[in-house]
Amino acid sequence: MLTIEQILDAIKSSGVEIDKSSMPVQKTFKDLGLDSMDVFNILIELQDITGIEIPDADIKDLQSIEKIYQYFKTKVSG
Amino acid sequence: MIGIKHITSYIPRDFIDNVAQGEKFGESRDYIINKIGAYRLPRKLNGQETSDLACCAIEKLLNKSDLLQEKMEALVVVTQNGDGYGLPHTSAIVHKKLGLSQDVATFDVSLGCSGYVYGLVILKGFLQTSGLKSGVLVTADPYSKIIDPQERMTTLLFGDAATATWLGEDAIWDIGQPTYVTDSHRGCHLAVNGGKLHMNGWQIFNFAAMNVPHQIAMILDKEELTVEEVDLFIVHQGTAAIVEAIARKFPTVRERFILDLSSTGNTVSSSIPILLEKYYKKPSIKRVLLSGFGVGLSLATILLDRREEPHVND
Repeated sequence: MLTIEQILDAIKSSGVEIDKSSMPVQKTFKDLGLDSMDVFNILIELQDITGIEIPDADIKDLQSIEKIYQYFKTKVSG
Repeated sequence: MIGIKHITSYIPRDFIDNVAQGEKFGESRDYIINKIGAYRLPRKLNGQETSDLACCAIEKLLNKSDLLQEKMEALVVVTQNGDGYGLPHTSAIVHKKLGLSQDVATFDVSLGCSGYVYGLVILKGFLQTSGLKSGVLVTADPYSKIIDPQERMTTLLFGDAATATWLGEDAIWDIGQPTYVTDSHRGCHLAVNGGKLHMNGWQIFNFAAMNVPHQIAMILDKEELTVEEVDLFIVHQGTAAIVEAIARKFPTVRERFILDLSSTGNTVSSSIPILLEKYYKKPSIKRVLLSGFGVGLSLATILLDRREEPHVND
């Protein structure tokens, strides 16, 4: 299962910069000033880490760190 | 041995201001410049055909190199947006417009952004098998023919251009053995429907980001080379974001991945030769890796090596 910290590390590895002090977990990526390419980069990094391929239909729901956390929690717990 | 002797490109003078275009879709200047990577997108003139772009690139090649038109023995055009309905093939139309000799072989190759790498291998093999010594590989795929200006996903990306690469004996660059990937199950994510191009950005980004670094690692492993032994990495300039996502996987040589599409945009099969033209004559560049990816979905990766001495009669 992915932790919030691992997701934050993945975001850093993806080359996307967010301000950790801005309480970014619940905020949408849009509110954090990220664009669609930033989100693609984050999701590619998470695919790499988890080995789970994210289908098209799920992309629109993965628009915050919290949503990503919940998504992978569900995927891993089956 | 057949290799690359000379490269030229033709970029139309007309262009779209991509920052202004982005504003219409609510996209910021930062997004257009830093993520898409192109502040302008060249556009062919109305009435200018794919064959005209090809002729412009070939005429530059004839003017700038030692290639004599009467020595051209084969002409290959990589395009999926040829003249008219594709029949006759665009290379035959170019043949007529340039007044080439009847004994020149012509054919088109139907591929998108992987087309230049495929084209090098196809023309090299064709010349060798046919006992020919000199041929020209053209890339000319003006996506402006199939772009819907209201479709944000595609209209912000693509520019029109053409290139011409002379392949022949006593060449500067050897063409290595490529690796290929075809993911046909994702082919529908970059396709023309109802006469217009449709693209699923996530699927294309995902395909490239997951497969290109792996293929680069594979071809280097096959050739028993390290990434540090490659002087330049020219991957298809789809967007700035995808080039950077690929380069990020190779942190020790990240600065060797060329990112340069600001004044051209994504020119499909022309993006790699447009950049190769800028670097292939530099003596310090001894080995270049090319990787093209896109329509199919298709990926082709290859190494080019500079010859120490021109090979004569080999």
